[in-house]
Amino acid sequence: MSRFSGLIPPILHRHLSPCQFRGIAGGLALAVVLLAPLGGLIWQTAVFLISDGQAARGLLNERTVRLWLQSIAYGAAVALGGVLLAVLAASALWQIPGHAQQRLRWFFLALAPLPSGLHALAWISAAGWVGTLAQTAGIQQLSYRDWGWLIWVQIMALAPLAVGLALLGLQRLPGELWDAARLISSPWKAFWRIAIPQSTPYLLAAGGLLFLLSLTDFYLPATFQVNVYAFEVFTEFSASNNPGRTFLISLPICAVTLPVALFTGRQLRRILAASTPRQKVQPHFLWPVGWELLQKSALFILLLQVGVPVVVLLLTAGPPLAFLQSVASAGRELFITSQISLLAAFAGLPLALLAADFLEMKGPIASVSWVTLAVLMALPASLTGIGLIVVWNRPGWPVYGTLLMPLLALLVRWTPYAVIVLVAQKRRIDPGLLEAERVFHTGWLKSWLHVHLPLLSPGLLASAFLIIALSMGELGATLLVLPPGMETLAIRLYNYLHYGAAQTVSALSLLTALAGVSLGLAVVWCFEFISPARKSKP
Amino acid sequence: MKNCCLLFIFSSIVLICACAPGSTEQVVIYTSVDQIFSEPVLDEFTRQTGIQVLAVYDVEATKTTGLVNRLIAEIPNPQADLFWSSEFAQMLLLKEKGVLTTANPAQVSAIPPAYRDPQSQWFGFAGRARVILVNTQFVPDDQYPKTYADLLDSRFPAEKIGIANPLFGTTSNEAAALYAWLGSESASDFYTHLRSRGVQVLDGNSVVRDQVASGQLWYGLTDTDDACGAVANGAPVRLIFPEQGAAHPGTLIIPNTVGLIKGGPNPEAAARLLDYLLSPAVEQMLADADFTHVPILSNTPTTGCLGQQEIRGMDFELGEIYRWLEPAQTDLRKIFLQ
Repeated sequence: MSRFSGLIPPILHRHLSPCQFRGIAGGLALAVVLLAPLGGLIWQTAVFLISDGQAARGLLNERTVRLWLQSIAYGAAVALGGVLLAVLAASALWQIPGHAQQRLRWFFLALAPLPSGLHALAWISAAGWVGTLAQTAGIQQLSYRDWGWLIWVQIMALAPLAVGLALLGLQRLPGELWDAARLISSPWKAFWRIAIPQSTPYLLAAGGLLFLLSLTDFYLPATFQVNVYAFEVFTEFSASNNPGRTFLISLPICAVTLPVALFTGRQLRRILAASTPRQKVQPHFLWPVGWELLQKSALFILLLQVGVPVVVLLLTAGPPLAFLQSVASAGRELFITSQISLLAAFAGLPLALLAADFLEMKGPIASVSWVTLAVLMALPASLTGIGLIVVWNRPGWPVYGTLLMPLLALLVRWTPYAVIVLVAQKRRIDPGLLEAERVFHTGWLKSWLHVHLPLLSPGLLASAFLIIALSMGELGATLLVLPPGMETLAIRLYNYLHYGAAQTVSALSLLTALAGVSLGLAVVWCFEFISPARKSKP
Repeated sequence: MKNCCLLFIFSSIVLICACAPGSTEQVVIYTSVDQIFSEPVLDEFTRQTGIQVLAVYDVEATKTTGLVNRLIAEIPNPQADLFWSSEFAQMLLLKEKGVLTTANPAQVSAIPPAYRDPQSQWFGFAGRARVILVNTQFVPDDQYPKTYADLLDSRFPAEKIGIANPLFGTTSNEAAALYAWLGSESASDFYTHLRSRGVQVLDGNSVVRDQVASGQLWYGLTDTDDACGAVANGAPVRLIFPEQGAAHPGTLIIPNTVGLIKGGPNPEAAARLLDYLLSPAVEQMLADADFTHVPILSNTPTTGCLGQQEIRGMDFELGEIYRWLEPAQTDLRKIFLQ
């Protein structure tokens, strides 16, 4: 008897298999939770265009085109700069012998979820100190509110992700390929002709993610008072309260982010399909002098990436008592942030599992699922919030004005990333164990608790911690939908950053950093060290 | 078994966190007043009355406009009990849209008629003034701009002048006041020339303040609270109240305004909070915090970094300034967004 047969209404049982029923129910749940905001926006836009045939006129003008081009250039600069830094740093770290090198990739990935606002605060403070010193020396203080600084800080915020992926790519290089290349060419040539091409999916995925994350959020640009297209979308809705008009304005940036998201998704699929090499590379050679100099510069930059926030936050957070007072003053925000982040993780896991099932299917369903995932990753953050308001702000519906609104915003934003983690976890499971379960099947609850859950638990926990970490720093979507009295830490930090309340901001940022790193390490620990049944062979 | 325990612990944490202790009496307020100023005031109300205040604060870039649009969108399904604005024009818009309801606060007689609604739907208190902030390190005493027209003068380099986005907040109020004073054509010309000169349009008044204080800009249009913040931080700046000459209309004084939301979920608590906000004690708190410096309820001279000086306010009814808001916004959209 099927493990689901008791759950399906008899009338459907005659027409649908349990798997089909689960697929349809799962699809509906995903559609309502994840896709309804986008659907609502498209509907409102259609109504807007029908009611006013000239509605789209004037939305695209010289100013918006310039802003669009600048934003794309900004994203591209962050992606290129980040990948270049990643290649240099990863090639240096690749030569560290033993298990330390293995752990390093996870160390960098653990730093990835740290909120970008933290880096903004650290570098603005550092720039302020340097500026003050420069002024005493008679040098005019440079502005730190410009594109250059923004690109630098964004690269600093996203560098761990890029370096972690680049290092992972080099570590996945099949040893036999490298050895074969070394037989006929120098290490330098082998690096460029074998190692880098083999790492291409990882580097492209890193570049794509850096581009998307730069373009779809406005936290850092707003902090540096640089206008980007994602912020334009937010301010348009605030000024006009017209979702249709806002969605039309967002289309040019979505036209860029969607193909990039699809391309990045394709690279991630290639990464997930790749197996761990049987023989790993143990590189021991000397790099050319020029390249070694660049590597050392990259490593120094990585040191700054960690060191500047740590030093600045520790210096400006004040003495321990002041730190505790600052933390206590934000007690409610800490509680709210923890609450909705935990709820997002709890609610996101079943959705991510369902979505992962769709991604694992063959044929058009998997393709459509990957495209849908890409669409969700490509949406600017504020569009998610606007779409939720369009769908759920209705009299008598007990959703708007409750905790469900920011929860839904976080699910739409971060479930796609959890899906990728779960797909990776599923690919690591030995299929023989699942076959054995099917043979000795003892009821769906027992098989779920004793077989599927333990096998999936590293990925589930990693996904949960990832959702929590990303939710803690989310601003663009939640800003629009938070109910009264439920301000999150990210919004408080964003507001206080504008007022220059340095000590409070530093203390809260330090707390966020500690939480972010802990969660990142938890993700790594789950994925790397809890492995009840890893695949023994590729 | 271990994984089951982990799942159970995880679920428990979620449930415990989700089941937060039940709240006491509550009141919901949307406020565009900077959180750093409004939060202590609201916390003091909670301390005095035990009523929990659930506040929604706005962000620097969009200021009042974002919250106002949210209130309008919530008309069929009101979430807020009161709206406390750091300016007046958007409050008048809310009255026009039918978002507000009449109220009878205890201190109503202490509010001058020019600063309260004739139909008792909104009330003003604790004013701020629009000022020209000047960096004294780069600008000599005798070269301070004194009028808006000075900002178009070539003596004052355009790349060193900054204004906040005139579509939002108190800068939009100032724009409406200029339209009321100069008329549509002259005011439109003023802003067109300002834009074409290359004046910096920044995210908010605090950004203008920061850039003038640091010397990146030499002149900026901002509010007294932002300007006094720079003075308090020891920045080399000076506040100039524009249009104070005999033949000039005076400086725009922008009161804080507060109104009750029609259909709000907690009307009794809202009335208590309204009475509290419209009290000299709150006005003093805001002055002590260097947010407002032009008392309205207590009829005393200016305070804080302004010292004790008499400032001549702009001689226009707030309603008249408000009527110019939309025409000004239509013009300014064309000038600044295209």
